[in-house]
Amino acid sequence: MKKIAILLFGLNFFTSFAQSLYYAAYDWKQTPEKYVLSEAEQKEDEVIVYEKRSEEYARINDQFNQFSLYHVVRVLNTNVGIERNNKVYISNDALEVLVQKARVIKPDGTILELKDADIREFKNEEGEVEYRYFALEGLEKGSVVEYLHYFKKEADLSGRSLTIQGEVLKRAVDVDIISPAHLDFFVHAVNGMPQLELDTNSTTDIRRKFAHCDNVKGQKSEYAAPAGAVAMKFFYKLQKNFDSGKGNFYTFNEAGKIVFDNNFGVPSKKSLKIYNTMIKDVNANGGSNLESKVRFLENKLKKEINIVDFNSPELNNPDLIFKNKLASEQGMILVMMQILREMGVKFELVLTTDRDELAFVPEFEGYNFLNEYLIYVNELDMYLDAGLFSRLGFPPYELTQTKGLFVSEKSLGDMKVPITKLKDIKAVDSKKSVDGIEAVVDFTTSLSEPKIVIERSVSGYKAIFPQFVLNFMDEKQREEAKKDVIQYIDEDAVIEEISYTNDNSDVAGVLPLKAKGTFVSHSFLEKAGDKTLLKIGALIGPQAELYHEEVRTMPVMTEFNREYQRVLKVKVPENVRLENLSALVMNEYTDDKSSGFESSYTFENGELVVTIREFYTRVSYTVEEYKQYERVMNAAADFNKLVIVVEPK
Amino acid sequence: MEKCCALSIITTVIRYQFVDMRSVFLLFLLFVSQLSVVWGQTKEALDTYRLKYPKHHLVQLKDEMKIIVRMEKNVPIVEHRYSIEYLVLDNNGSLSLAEQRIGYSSFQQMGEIEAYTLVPTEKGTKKLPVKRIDTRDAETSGSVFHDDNKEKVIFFPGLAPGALVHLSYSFVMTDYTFPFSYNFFASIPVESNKVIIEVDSSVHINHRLFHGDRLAIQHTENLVKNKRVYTWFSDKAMIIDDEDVAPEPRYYAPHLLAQIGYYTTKAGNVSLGQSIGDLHANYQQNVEQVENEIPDPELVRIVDSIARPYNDEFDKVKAIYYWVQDHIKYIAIEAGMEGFVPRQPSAVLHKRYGDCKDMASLIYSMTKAIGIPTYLTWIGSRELPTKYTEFPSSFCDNHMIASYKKNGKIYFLDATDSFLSIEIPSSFIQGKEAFVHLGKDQFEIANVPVIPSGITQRIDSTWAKLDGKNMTGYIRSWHSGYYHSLITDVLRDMPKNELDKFSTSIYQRCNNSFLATNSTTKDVLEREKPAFMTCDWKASNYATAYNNEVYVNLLLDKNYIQYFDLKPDRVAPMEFPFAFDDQSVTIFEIPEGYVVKSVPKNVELKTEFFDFSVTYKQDKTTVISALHLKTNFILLDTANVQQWAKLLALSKQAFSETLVLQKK
Repeated sequence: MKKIAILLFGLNFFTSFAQSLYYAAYDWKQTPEKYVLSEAEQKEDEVIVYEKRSEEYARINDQFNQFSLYHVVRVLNTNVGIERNNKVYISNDALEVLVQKARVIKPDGTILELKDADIREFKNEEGEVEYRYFALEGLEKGSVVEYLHYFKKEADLSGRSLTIQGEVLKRAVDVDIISPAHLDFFVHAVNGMPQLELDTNSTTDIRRKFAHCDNVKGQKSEYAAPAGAVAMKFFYKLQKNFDSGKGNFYTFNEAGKIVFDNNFGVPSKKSLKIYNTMIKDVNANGGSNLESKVRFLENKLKKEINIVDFNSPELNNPDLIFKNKLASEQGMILVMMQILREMGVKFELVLTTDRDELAFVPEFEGYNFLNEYLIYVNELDMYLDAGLFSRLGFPPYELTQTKGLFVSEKSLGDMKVPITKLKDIKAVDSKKSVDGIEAVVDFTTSLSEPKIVIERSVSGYKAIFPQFVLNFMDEKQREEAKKDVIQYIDEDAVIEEISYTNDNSDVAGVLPLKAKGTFVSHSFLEKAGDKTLLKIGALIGPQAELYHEEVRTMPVMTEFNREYQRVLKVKVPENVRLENLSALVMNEYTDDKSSGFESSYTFENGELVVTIREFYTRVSYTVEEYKQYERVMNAAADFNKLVIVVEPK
Repeated sequence: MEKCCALSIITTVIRYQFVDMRSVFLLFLLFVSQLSVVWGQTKEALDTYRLKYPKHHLVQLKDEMKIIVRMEKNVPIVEHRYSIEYLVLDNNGSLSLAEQRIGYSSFQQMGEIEAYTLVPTEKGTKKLPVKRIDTRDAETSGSVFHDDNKEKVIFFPGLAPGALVHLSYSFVMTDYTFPFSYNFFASIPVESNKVIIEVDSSVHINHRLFHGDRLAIQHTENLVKNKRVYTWFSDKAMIIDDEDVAPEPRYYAPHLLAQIGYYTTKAGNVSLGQSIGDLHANYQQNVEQVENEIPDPELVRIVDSIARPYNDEFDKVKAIYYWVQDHIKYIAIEAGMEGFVPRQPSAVLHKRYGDCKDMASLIYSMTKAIGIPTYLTWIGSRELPTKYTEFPSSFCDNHMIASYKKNGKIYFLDATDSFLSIEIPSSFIQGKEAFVHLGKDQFEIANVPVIPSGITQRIDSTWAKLDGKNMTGYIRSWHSGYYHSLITDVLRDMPKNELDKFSTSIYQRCNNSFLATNSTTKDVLEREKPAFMTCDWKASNYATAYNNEVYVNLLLDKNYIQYFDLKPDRVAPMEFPFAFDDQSVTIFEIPEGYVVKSVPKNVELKTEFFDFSVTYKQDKTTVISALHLKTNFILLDTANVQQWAKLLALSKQAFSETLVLQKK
C-alpha cells in the first residue's frame, strides 16, 4: 500500500495539557459474565457477544498519540468456531503495546489466561514486528474467548475508518472517538450504523463521541458482493481546533499539494539523460499516435524494470531504478510521470482506493481514500498503472467505478501549482472487454464424429492476464496454458490442431488474444438411438448460475463491464435435418437494458447460425435490481443446457 | 486432510529453499536444482544458450553443492556450501529472478552470502554486487503455526537478457547428524549438476543414489592426502514437468541421499548412520522425557472417565484414541527441537492442541495410565518415498503416530485425522514403513497396509422421474472408509439448515440447476459404520423432447469420473489418495404413455488395477443404469498409466449415450 507522506501538521498548536487516558483502567471483568445464547445465536459457529472499540487521541508525556482499544468476547459453539479462533493473528501498527491479553473461559468456568511468553512475533526485513500471533489453550465447544489490546500508535488525524460489521454476528458493539476537549473530530457513520453522539457527561478535558449498536448481523457470503464496502462502519478525522479557532484540516486540496510536492519535482540530470534516450526510442519505434507511443513506453519500462513488492528508498529513486532495474510500484509511477512530462504529454496523477473495500463518501475528505496511484492521460482519456498485470486503458478494475483525486500541474507565470479535483474514474466500456467464441460444428463429413472448430477471441481485461502469463512460460507450458483458452469449453476435448495470435503482453490492451482449435469431442454429442443430440448450448462454455440464491442482502459489484459474443454454426448435409431449433431464441434484459442476454438463429442452405450477445454495461446493481441481474445471468446458464436434434431425413 | 509436523524440516529446508516467492505463477519456473563457464564472452554465450534452449527464458549454468565434514575435538563439523548461477535468456527470465529468498532454520548457522549480477555491456561485463541482503522471519509453510525459520531476501540488480546471476552461500549445521541430499532434477535446464562431499579421512559417508539409471551421473571417490572426496556430476538435470496426479518427483527422479555413516576417534568408531539402530539411538533421546512423565491427576481422571465404560482392552484404546481425535486440535509449533521432541502429554491435554507428535505422546501416555502399552512411532507421509530399510535417516519421516498391538495386528493411531476408525490408518501413511519405538534400544519396522477398496465405498442410488424436461427424485447414499472421513470433516458441525446446500454441492446430478431438499444424514459421527445420506432432488431442462421422443441420459453425475491429462509420453507414475469402490445406480421410472425405444450399450473394462463397467437393465416400469469403478492401487507405475487413460476414453463414450423414449 502506498501512503501519502503526511506531515502531522498542527502538532505545535496542541496545548501542552497533560491528558490521562480515558480508558487507562479499562479491563475485562475479573469474574467473567455468563452468556446465554438465544436460539438464533446458537445456530452460529461463533457469536461475538461483546465488542468494544475506542480510538483516543491524547497527549501523554509531551507526545501526541493515538491509543486504540479493542476488546472482544466470543462464544464458540462448534468445532468450526474453535478452529477459526484457536490461532490468533494480530497485525501490529503499534509503537507500544500497553496491554495485549487473551483468556479462555471454559464451560466449567475454568479460566485459562494466555501467558505473555506464548505471544510470538513475526519480524520483517526492518526488524519490525509485522504481526503477533498465539494459539489459545483449552478450547472446547461452549468456551468463551476474550481478547483485549490497548495499543499506542502514531496519531493519524487525516482520515480513517473503523468497520464494525463482518462475517460473525455481534450482539453488542460499543465504539468511541475521544480527543482532547479542544479538538473536534468529524465522525460519520455509514451503511446503517447509527451516528456517534457527543458525550455531554464526560469530563471537561476530553471530548468523546460514542455509539452503541445491538445485533450487528453477520454478512453472508454472496456472489459478487462488495462486502467490505457495504459493511457498517464509520469514518473519522480531525476537524477543528477550538483553541486556535482553526479548522477544516486534511482536505483533498491539501492532499493535492502534498502529492504535488512529492511527485511533480524536476528530474535529476542523470535521469533526464535516460529519459531523453528513451523518448528518442519512443519517437522512432513507438508509432505515430500518442496512444501507441505511451503503450510502447509502458511495455518497455515494464519489460526492462523489475517491479518488486517491497519498499525502500532506492526503489523509488529514478536514478537508482535505472541502475538496478528494480522499482517499487510507486517508483514506476514516478518514472512514468517524469517521462510523460518530458514528452509533453498532458496527464493527471490520480489517487484513489479499492472500491470493494471503501466507497467514497462525499461528506468526508479523508486521506484513507487516497492510497492507490494511477496516471490519467487526458488526451487519450485512459489510465496507466504501474502494475505488471495492467496496461494503458485497463487500470486495476477495483480502482475504477469509483472516485479519485485528480492532481495536475498548472503554470502560473514561472510558478507551477497543483490543481486538485475529485472526479469519477469511469469503468472501462464493455465493448473493450469482449469474450468471443465462434464455433463451427461440421456434420457434412460424419454424423457421429463431426469436426468442431472453435475460435476464441478475448480482449481487454479478459486478455491482459493470460497475455502476460503466456510470456513467462516455456514452450511446453505455453502449449498447455493456451489449450485452456479453448479447452475450457470442454476440458476433455482432444485438440488436434491449435493456433494462436496476439499471445504476448506487447499487444495487451490493444489486440485480442486469439486461439483457434480443431478438435474432436464427445462431450457435445450424445447418441440417442439413430439420432444424434448436439448439446449446442455447451459450446458457449460453462456458465455461472444464480439459480438457488437466497434473499439478497448486498448489491452486486462485478469486476468490469464486459460482453460475450458467440456465433455457433452447425453445418449438415442435405439428407439431415436439425430439430428443436425454436428453443434457441432467448431474450432477457435488466429493466434498463444495461445488461442482457439475447440469442437468435437462422437456418439456410444446410447451415444453422446461432448468434448470441450477452452484455453487461453496468458494473454494479442495487439490492433492489438484483433479481433483474440474476435473470440475465441465468438466461446464459439456461442457454448452456440447450440441445438440438440431428436426424437423418 | 494431511497434516504433518516438521520432524525432518531440516532435510527439506536445506535444499529446496532457494525459491522465488514473488508470485505463484512464476514459482514453477524456479525449481532449483546446477560447469562453471569462463564468463568472458557474454554475448557469444548468450547466443549459444539461446540456440540450445530456444524454448526457455533462463538456464541454470551451475548448481553445485559441497559438503565439508571436518573433525574438531573429536566431533564432526558439517558445513554446506552452495554455488548457483543462472543465465537470463530474455526479459521474462529476468523478471522471475529479480527477487530471491534463501530460507534457513535455527539448525543452520548462516555464513557469508555472495550475490552479484554480471551484466553485459559494450566493453564486456560489469559486476553489480548485491549490496543489501535483508533477513526476515519466514512465513510458515503448510500446516505449521509457528517455527523459527528465517529467510534472506535478495534483489538482484541489473537483470536483462545476457545477465548472469551468481549466488553462493554456506552454513554450518548445529547438529552433525542431519543427512544431506541433492536432486538431479529441475523444472528448467541445468547445465552443471555437481555434488562434492569432502571429509576428513576418519569420516565415512554413507550414500545412495536413487533412480540414477535415469541420467548419466559420474561418480568418483578418492582419498587425497587426509581427505576423502566423493563427487557426482551430470551435465544435465532431468526436467520435471507438472503432470496431473503425479507423486513427489523423488519417487521417480534421480537424487542422492547421504549422511555420515561413522567416524573414527581414538576411542574407536562412532556409528551414526549405518543402520536403523543408529537412527533409533539418535531418535530415542527425543522421546525420553515423554516416556518418563508420570501422568498427572487430570490426565488420569480423564482417562478413567473415558475408559471406565469398557471392559475390553481394545475398546479402551479405541475410546482414548477417538477422544484425542475429538478433543485435541491440530496446531503445530515447531521452533528448533520442538520440531522433533513431542511435548509432555499433560501439557498437551491442558492446551487441548498439539501437532502429530503431541497427539501421539498423549495417546501413549493415556493408555499407559491404565496399563495398556502403545508405542510412539516415527513415520513418513507419502510425500517421502525413502524407506528406513533403504536409507535409514530422517529423510524417511516427517510425522509421528502411536501404534497399538493386539493379537499380532498393529493399529496405527494418527489423531491428526480427526475422524478415522481405529481400523484404518490415515490415508497419507498407507504403504509406508512405520518405525515403532518399543522401548530403550528396542524397535521394529512395521508396514502400514494399503487399505483395500472394499473399505472405502461410495454407493449411491438415485431414483429419477421425468417431469416435462425436468427431473425429480430422491437419493440414498452410503459412504465408508476414507469417504466417510472426508464427509464428516465437513458435516460434523453443520447446522441442519445448511444440509441441503451441502447435498446440492456433493450430488450435482444432471446440470447446475440441481437442487437437493429434505436432506437427512445418519451415522455421520459413527466411525465404524458407513455414513448414510438422503435427499429429494430436482433439476430443470435436462431431458430433450422432440416430436414423439424424449431423450434422457441416465448417467446423471457428470463429474463422477475425474478426467486427467495422461499423455502417452508421461514420465510420472499416478498417485491416488486411496483405493476406492464407487457404485452409482440410477433407477429411472418410465413415464406413463411412453415406451423405451433404445437403451445405451453396456461397457466394461477390467484390468489388474481396476474394474470399470456401465450396465443398463430394463423392466416394465424402470430402466436402471449402474456405474461401477473399483481400484486397487494408490500408486500406478508409469508403464500402466495408459490403462487408466483407456478407462477415461471408455467412460467418455459411455457418458455420451442416451436413453430414448417414445410415445406409445
